[in-house]
Amino acid sequence: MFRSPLRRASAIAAASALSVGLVSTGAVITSAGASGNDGVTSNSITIGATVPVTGIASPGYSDVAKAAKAAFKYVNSKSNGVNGRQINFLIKDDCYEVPGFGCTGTPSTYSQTQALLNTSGGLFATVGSLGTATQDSVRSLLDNNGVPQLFVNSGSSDWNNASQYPRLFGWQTDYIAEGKIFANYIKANFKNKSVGFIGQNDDFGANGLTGLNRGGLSIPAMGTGDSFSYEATAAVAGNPFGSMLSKMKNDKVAVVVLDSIPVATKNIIQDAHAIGFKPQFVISGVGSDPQTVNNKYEVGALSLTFLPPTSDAKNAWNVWTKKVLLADSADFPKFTAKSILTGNMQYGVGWAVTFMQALRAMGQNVTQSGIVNILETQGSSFATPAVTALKYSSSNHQGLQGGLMVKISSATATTSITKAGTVYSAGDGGTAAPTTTKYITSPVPSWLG
Amino acid sequence: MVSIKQFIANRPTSARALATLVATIALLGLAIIVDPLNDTYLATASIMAIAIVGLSLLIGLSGQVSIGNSGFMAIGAFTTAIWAQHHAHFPLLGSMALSVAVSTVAGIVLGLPSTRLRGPYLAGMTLAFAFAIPPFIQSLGTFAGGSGGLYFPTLQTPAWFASAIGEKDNPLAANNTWGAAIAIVVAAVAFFFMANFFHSRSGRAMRLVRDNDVAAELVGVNVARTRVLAFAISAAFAGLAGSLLAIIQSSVLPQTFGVALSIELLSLLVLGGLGTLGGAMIAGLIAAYSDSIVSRINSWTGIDPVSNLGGSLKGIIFGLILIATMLLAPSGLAGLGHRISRFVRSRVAQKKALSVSETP
Amino acid sequence: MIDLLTSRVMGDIFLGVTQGVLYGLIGLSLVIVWQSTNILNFAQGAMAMFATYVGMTLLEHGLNYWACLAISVAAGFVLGGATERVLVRPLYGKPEINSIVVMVGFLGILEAGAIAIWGGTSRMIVSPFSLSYFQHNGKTIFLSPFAILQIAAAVTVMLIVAGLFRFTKLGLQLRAAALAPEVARLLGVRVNRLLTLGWALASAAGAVAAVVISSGFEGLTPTNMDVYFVFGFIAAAVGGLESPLGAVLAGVLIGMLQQFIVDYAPPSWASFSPVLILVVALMIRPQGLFSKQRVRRV
Repeated sequence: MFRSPLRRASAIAAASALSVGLVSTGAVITSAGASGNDGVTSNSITIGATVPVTGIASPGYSDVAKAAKAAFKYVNSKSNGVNGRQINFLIKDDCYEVPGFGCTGTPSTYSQTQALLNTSGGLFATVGSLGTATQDSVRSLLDNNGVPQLFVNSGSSDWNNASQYPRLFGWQTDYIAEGKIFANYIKANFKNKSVGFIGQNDDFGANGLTGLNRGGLSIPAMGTGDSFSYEATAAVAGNPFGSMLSKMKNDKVAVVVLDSIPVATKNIIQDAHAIGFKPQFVISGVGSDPQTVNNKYEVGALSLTFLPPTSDAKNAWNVWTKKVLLADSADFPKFTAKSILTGNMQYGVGWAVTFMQALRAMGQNVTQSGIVNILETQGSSFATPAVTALKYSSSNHQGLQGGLMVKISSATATTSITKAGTVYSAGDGGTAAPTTTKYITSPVPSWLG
Repeated sequence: MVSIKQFIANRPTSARALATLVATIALLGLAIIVDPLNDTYLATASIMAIAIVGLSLLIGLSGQVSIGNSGFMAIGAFTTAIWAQHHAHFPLLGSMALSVAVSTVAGIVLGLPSTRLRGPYLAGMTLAFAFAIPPFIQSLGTFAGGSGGLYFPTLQTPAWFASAIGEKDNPLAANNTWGAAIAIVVAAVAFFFMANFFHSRSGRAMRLVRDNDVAAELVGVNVARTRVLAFAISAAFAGLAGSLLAIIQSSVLPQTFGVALSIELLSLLVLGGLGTLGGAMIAGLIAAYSDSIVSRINSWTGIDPVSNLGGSLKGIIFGLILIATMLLAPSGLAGLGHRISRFVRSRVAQKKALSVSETP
Repeated sequence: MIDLLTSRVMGDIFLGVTQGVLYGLIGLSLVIVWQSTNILNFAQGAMAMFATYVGMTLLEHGLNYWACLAISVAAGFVLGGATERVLVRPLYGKPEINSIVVMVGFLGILEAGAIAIWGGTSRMIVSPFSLSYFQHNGKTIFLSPFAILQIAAAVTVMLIVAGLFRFTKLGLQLRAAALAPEVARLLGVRVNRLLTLGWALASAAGAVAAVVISSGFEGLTPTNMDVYFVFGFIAAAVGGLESPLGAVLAGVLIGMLQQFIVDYAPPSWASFSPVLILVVALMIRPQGLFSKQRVRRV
């Protein structure tokens, strides 16, 4: 409390000295701003992502961006980057917007994206930022600044809105498409069996449920009948799953579809085991990776992947991904030649390769509008690890639209249960039944090293 | 010198107004000079300083420890965001005023038990409040956006402002400076109010209640009302900070406003200095710059920011600083500055005395 | 009888009690610390977590479950005692904000430190007791052998603590040291040593809860004890901050309340409804439901 003027002056002096010190720590004082800076120079390109490195969503998911970083590092060293440009990939921790003690400060996705945008020299694009709500919250910020928001790590349909957000692109198969494929499979293989549903209480669960019903099942809204919701971000209190599963068991439910992140998947299958309930689980690809879920009772569950099954040791992309990870012992110290890839690692490498393909296709003239144009016109022909084509066009920014039905075959790997040489394709978001299309195994381009 | 001292003594309110005006102009100038990234930091610093100075009043002046102010920030932020859902061009001042009003009411409601609770019971109850608010907001459903949060159109930079600062062709720079300018002006008004309140009759009553509530009652202070008033003002400031945060980020997510934010406010407050305006300003700056300081440390030490250690470095440093501050310099950085200045003055006085005695 | 045991209401009661005893255990630790030193230990949950991670790290090198429990509890005991000696001792006689801030800082170091050392992924200790619920004619009784162990562990710890405080000379000295340290010192009680012991005991009791949590469904992460701290605090406060029995009973009540809400109402309500209970309880009896102490009127 400022009783004396001198005391007040000393406090204000301390505050202003500190502010000058801090401002100069933060960045060099310039008045030029970021005008004309798009992160591209003749020999480098700067991109970034906000991902959960710590906090509730980090287990498993933190490997995604690390694997992508490993792929960029590999191409930087083996092929001197893409078209002679080194890729500088900045990762910022947003804790999935759930601050905790690993994550103090106000590490919101917004402030971390601001920090990326204001990287000296500018930012070319965000690539592979993770989360639906988190990425929704920065759509306007990035769009207003003309910075592309590429390959958001989420299966929400929010990324496919080219008229409002022309530089926004998704990558993975969306939850509606996944739900349609699940519904199709369940109708064919579990005829007239009763189906239950547990979904995360946000877009993830809601879109998944929409997909299941568009695919021809009739599952009631979450919270009614054998259809339930749970909160992903609220603190765990009580045991929500025991009574849900118990009701399904009493109702003789034979198939349970889960739209859950790995932590919740684990709790659900364990609870089911504990009450002696053994339905066929069908789990969203987002929450089924066996090495992340890490529970033996998951074996036998079904899921969807748009990447080659992790048990396929001969797949050229799996081989290349292993090489990439082995070369990056700093980020993957425990990964050895005998390790099996996780879905998260494949996924990160998948969109990293897509970005490098787009960069290569642009040639020397790398611009922010150029990459949008390249993705819309040539994206569907890019060779990527995905087993189905990216369906990018001027009106479709969603990305992949299908995948393989797989079985969790062991505590570490998945195997395909789809007819050899084919994949399911969900077509558009409407009610048209999914079709089978050709299983794509693109060769690994030699320029990737 | 003498005349300035006299001016401060005779016309304290005018002196404070003048000091606020000078500081505001200086900060606005700084906002225009620095690059867009530092503008976002200045905005964050102003917002956090508002929330922290409100907490400073509650803890430092009225002696009630709260770990619940993140909850009031959430209420302020969501009030503004819900307002923005229904109004295409929402007025800045209107939405801030509404947020302040709603969070003040919430502060009174939470403050009422404070008339009966003491010490850890009160701290624990506010903690429980902070814990409860995000799931409560989620449970409101689509009205408050559920767990997906709310989004609304970004703050528009007025054309006159962009051209005045010479950034007409650089919307990013203009927008960041505009956001910083709004936050700085609002913070200046808030600090001016607080400076006057500290010296007002109510402010003195609060100090008396903190130091000796029985004596306060004997001299006619309404103890219960004073305690609730502290909660109400503290909540109003937190709500204002939340509203500004929502306006500048044009999005709000419930889980941002968890207990961790409350703990951070408390920690920064203690670090800056309890019950002082300067301390709250310092704390705001540290809040804004802590990320870039930690990333500096990461690059100096070569710790990978994406590793387990790199990700938790900030938490460890924060914890160590808190403990060290409390055990070694409980009056915080502001108090430390004061102690240094007193030390220097006493040395100067000593020297003067020596030189006087040396002269024959 | 079997129909009753397999009914939905009994299922919720069983699940609620199983969860609630964990809140009670953390509440109990808070009560011990509060009774011996008048400090609310914000790092109680984190200390329990850290001790258990130490135990788990040793388990990975081939120790059995009971050895891990013993090591974790011992680690908790040592950590609690050391914390009192190093961090808490300089705080006696200082304003309460000082102790709150120091313990919050310690909480940060423990949680962030655990992430730095062991990573953020959930870890489990597989207990020799099955997590599977008892079945009868295809119907579930929501009790498992492990849940029974969990309840038994909580009751045992509570009885030990209550017995220690009420019936032993040590307990008498502990209470004397907390109530009137100067008088106790004059009477020849080694007050400093007793305060350390109080913290050590509390931290050991907390470690029991963390070991049990790490063997349950969710496993242990560096941050998931936060939830147990909050509800443990609510339990201790509703119980009166000085009654070990009160803390455990209040914990069980909160656990059951949450389970009924999760089953019959939107699950997210379970996170904030105990706060309402706390507010109402404190408005009715500011000194806690089970406390005999009278609160000073202003």
